[in-house]
Amino acid sequence: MMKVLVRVDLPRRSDFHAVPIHGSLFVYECPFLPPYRLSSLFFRSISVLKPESFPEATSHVLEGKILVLLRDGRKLLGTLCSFDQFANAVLEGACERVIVGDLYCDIPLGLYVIRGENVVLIGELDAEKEDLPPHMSRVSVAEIRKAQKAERDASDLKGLIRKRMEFLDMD
Amino acid sequence: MLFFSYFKEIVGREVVVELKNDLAIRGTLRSVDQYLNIKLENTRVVDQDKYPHMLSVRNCFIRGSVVRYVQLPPDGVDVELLHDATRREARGG
Repeated sequence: MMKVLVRVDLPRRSDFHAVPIHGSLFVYECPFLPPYRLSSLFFRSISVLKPESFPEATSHVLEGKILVLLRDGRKLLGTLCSFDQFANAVLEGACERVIVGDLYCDIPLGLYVIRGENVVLIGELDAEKEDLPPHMSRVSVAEIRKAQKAERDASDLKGLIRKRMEFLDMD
Repeated sequence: MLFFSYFKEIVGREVVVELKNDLAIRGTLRSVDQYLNIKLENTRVVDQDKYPHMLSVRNCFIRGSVVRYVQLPPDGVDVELLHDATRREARGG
């Protein structure tokens, strides 16, 4: 019996912790819910952890690093452990790459289970090629959060100005 | 099933896949499955500057449900054949 802490990323951005028991039952340790079993809906995406169910087509990627684009625009990097026909994926050593302008940051996340419906694209990363264009620079988590906030504030302000100017009927 | 068969026929050709998030990717069609999930080889993002994180992605899997358009090679469509096949399908044969 192996207990592993995994993090299930849900569309609503609430992060759960799950503990696999007997390799098949999962109990959430969640900040706002009592521990409970994983529903069969999620169970399907977890059961593909068994190596024999890897689809042949993707098995050659299972070694290298991959990039997963999610529907909300987030970019996750990590090692693909498992994958199925719904594009449910398990990422090991996952990190989120936040890009703001020319700044970027990789925020470590750990083991991630991604439900297929949120996946846009799974790309193999070329080990020889440079990850990002050379003019981009890596910054700390705090700095990227600040940059993110500045960008969000700027777009909010733009929206506000646009709203105030609506009476002009610019279209 | 018809379009699945069709896409299977153009495996190996170059296509441009436009996604619902406005990302457009050019690449060689490597494989396709029943959900019209697509695997592309030698991919290049059409608007490279806007998507710097895609720079080092050479092969990728695209989930069928996020595809908006697939731009086909101009000579890749046999319109007559596709017409016939769709009519046959509509008749239920």
